[in-house]
Parts: sequence; structure tokens; C-alpha cells
Amino acid sequence: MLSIAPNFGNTFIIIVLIRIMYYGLLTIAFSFLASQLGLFSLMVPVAFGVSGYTIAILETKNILIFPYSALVGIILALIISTFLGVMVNRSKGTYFLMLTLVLGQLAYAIALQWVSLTKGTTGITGVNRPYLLNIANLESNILFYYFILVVFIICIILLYVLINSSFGVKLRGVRESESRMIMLGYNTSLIKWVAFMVSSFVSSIGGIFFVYFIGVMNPDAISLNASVKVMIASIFGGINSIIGAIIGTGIIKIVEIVLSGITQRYLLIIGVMFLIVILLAPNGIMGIAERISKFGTRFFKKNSK
Amino acid sequence: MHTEKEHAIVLRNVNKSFGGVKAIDNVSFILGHDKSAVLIGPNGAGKTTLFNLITGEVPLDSGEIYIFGVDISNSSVQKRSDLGLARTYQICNLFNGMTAEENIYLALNSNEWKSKRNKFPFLTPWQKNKNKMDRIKEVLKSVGLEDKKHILVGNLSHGEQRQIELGMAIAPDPKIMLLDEPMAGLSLTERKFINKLILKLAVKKNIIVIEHDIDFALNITDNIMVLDHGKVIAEGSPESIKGNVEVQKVYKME
Repeated sequence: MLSIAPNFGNTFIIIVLIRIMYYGLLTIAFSFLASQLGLFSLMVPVAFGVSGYTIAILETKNILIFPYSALVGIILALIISTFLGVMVNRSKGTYFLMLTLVLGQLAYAIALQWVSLTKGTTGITGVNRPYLLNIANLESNILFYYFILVVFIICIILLYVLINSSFGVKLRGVRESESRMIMLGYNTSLIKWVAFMVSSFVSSIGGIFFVYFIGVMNPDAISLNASVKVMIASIFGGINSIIGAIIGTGIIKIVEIVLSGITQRYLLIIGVMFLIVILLAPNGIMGIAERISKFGTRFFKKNSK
Repeated sequence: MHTEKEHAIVLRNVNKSFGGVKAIDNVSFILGHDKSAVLIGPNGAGKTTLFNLITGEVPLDSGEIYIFGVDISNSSVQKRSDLGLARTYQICNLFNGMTAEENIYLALNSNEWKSKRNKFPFLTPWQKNKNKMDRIKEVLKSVGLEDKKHILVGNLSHGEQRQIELGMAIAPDPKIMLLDEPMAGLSLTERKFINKLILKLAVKKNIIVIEHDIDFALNITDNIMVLDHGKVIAEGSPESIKGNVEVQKVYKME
């Protein structure tokens, strides 16, 4: 359905879908850690910002162009995540949340104050979309759309395969009882660190598309506001699944885009929606869907009898 | 020492304190290669701490521990479980949000069960490891839960959780099993079932069991060790333990 969308839609819908997809990458990076490890990381946007800023700096200073700048962006994001991952590895629960909050804010402060490199609040403007290997000109939104769609789907498949592998079982084991995992002889710090790196990788890919699509990289992208939005979207859709994260991002973004054209108080409406979902369906949209499907099967069973 | 190769577990002058409290005070004992033992003692005597020291969850202050002649005093938990050590917990420490099958799967971590041909462990679904899946079926059958393999462990009854706990201990086919009150909080019928189960599983394994139900414990072995305030105060057959003055003092027997 998504692959044929551009044929019918106008540019507006394509733009919305593109935005949903790069924010979706950020949300599934968050959701992956939250659902599989039970860790709520507020510094998921750090990798997003690092890759975005790297590309913006390399491109505007004419140092490297597309495939290489993106590659350097991902590698740099992973290098920084390596250290961050080691730092947060020993904590869990509220302490993990607080630690990631601090580290996320640290990254934000650096982006804000290292003016000579990041140009502070204004951000780096004028990042042009790449000529992909000189074959396709990504200036056109439709080509950009297909490009991000392919990468997006690959990322989702990758995460699903990972969750279903033996590694995924180990992740859930750490979530349920880390002490037991240690006793069974698993290296839980390594397991957590690898998961953290996977999450950072997905997040950094989101950053690439973000910077190329918007053309601007400023500290807002990695602010606390951004982290909280990711968390809200993920909880909104259902924290226990990747699909939930995507649906959550989709709904939040669509509501945001549609309502921001109508009223300035759109955040209030999102807040109320969030409240309703949290109160009535702690498992988010996916929880509601699950309940409906359960009810449906029960209903049909009763009727068939 | 050359003789230690023949013993399953050797503890020599093991000490552990928490703050100012001596939890384990200069404990030494030897468990022969075909022997099992029952550990009894009042609350807070250090029984579980002794288990934690043997399995490596808590580091030693001083002393030496050998398993089958290998010095493991400072080894990792992983190395100890590879040598054939497994334990259960007094309070069920299971993966509640996961199915019975997944619980046993995670217990199969010793080298023997790692698939050799699988070059991409990150990309293959975990159910594809036939070696492990066969073993999981076998283990769940032996603990009597083969029909509950897809149920979340948190939704099982307390008795069934105990069965899973046991299943996780026997899954890697260990040589030494440390059972920490395997029947705590169970009804009489459940106790009988677990009792039978342990007897069945105990064949050709060294077992150290912490258990207050002496009748059950004597089913497994008649080698009793009494621990009080971190010290071994008596060791031997039931008769000699009953006759021991210090034990009588601890248990206030008339």
C-alpha cells in the first residue's frame, strides 16, 4: 500500500509519509530498547543528531558528498554510542532514565554552544539532497520517498529478525531478570550494549534522512522535547511492539501536521489524546487492537455455536 | 593436591563478611564425587550465602573453592556453569514475562548446547536450533510441563514455577546441582510430586540441597551438614547429628 501511495497522492501526502518514516526510525529505535530490554532511553536522538550534524557539516563545508558523508555520519554516531552505551550499561529503571536524560541534554548543550562547528541555535542550513551515485536525482520527493521506504522496511525487517533470533530471547531474559541471566552465565553487559548499538544505528539512519529532507540541522532535533515526543509516540502506539511504534508516530505526526494548520493549541489536543490512551489502554493502540481482535474471535466463536 | 580431582566440591577456609557480620566463617568441607549433602540450619545461618559463593554470584573474601579439582575461587559464573554447576533459588527467580519454553531455552547456555553450524546467530530464529528444541521438549516433559510450554511463566501456579525452576537447573545437564529450598511454600501433594521429581533427576548427580523437611532430604542422602552463624557445627549421618550437643543447643531440642 505504501509503495503505490505516490501514484495517487499529492506532494503533501508524500511529505507527511516521509516525515513519519524518519521520525518512525527514531521511534522504533526507542521502542526496540523499551520493549526488548525494558529500558527507556531519552538519548535515542543523540545518534540521530550526531549523524545529522556530521552530514550537515561535511556537506556544507564541501568535504564529502552523499554516500561517504552518510557513512561517516553512521560510523561517528556508532563510535559515540559505544562510549555512551558503556556508560549507561550498569544502570536500569529510573536511574537509566535519569542518566540518559543527562547525557542527552549534554549532547544538546554541545550542539547549542559549540557555535563554531554547529552554528548554535540557527543550525546549519543549506544541506542539499544528494545525487545518488549520479543516477537518480533525489531532489524529487517521489524518489526520496521510495529511497526512504526501502531503507525503512529493511530496518524493520532487521529488527524483527533480531527480535526473533536467540539474541532476542536473551534480550527479553535481561528485561525479565538480569540477575538470573548473570547466574546462567550470560554476559549481560555485552547483550545490553549490542542492543544499544542496534538502537543507535537505526536512530542514526533516521538522522540521515532527516537532514537531507529538511536541509537544516539545528539543536531542536535532539532537544529534550524531541526525546519526549519519541517516548510519547512510542507509548501511544504501544510500547511492546515495533508496529505500535510506527503507528504511534504516524498518528502523532498526522495529528500534529493537520492540527497545527488549524489551531496553535495542537499540543494540548495531543496531550489529551495521550492521556486518554494511557488511562484507558495502557498498552496503547496495539493494546486496543489486541483487545478488539480477542473480542472479535470470542464473539464469532459464540455465534458459530 | 592430587586427591581433589576425585571430589565434586572442595571448600577450604572460605570466608565472607557483609559489613561487620561474618556470614560465612572459615567453612571447609569436601563433597565426594558420588556424594550428595543436605544443608540445614536456622534462619540467617548463611546457607544461601554459601550457595552464592559456590556459584560465584557473590565474590569470596578469602579461601578456595574447587569443582572437580579445578580452582574456581575467582572464576566467572559462566566458567563455573560450564564446569557443570547449576542452582535453583529459594524465591523463584524466573523470566516471568516469557514462555516456559523460552525460560528453558535461556537455561541452555553451557557450551555443549551451542549449535556449531549456526554462523549467523543474530539472523536465525531461535526456534530453528533443533538441538536445543529437542532438549527443551525433553526437559519440560521430565518436569511434567510439556503441555504448558507456550504459557507465560508468570501465569503459572507457584508449584509449576518451582517445576520450571527445577527444569532450568537440569536443562544443561549439570553434574552438580545446588537446590535452595526446592519445596518452600508448596502444598503436601505438590511436595510429594517435587520430591519424586528430584529423586528421578538426582541420578548420577551431586546434589546439595537446603531443606527443612528432613524426611524428604534423607530420601536423597544421609549426609547432613549443619550450619549456624556461618560455621559448620556438625556433619555426618542423621544419628550423629541428633546426638550432637551443639545442634541440640541450636535447635533447642529437649
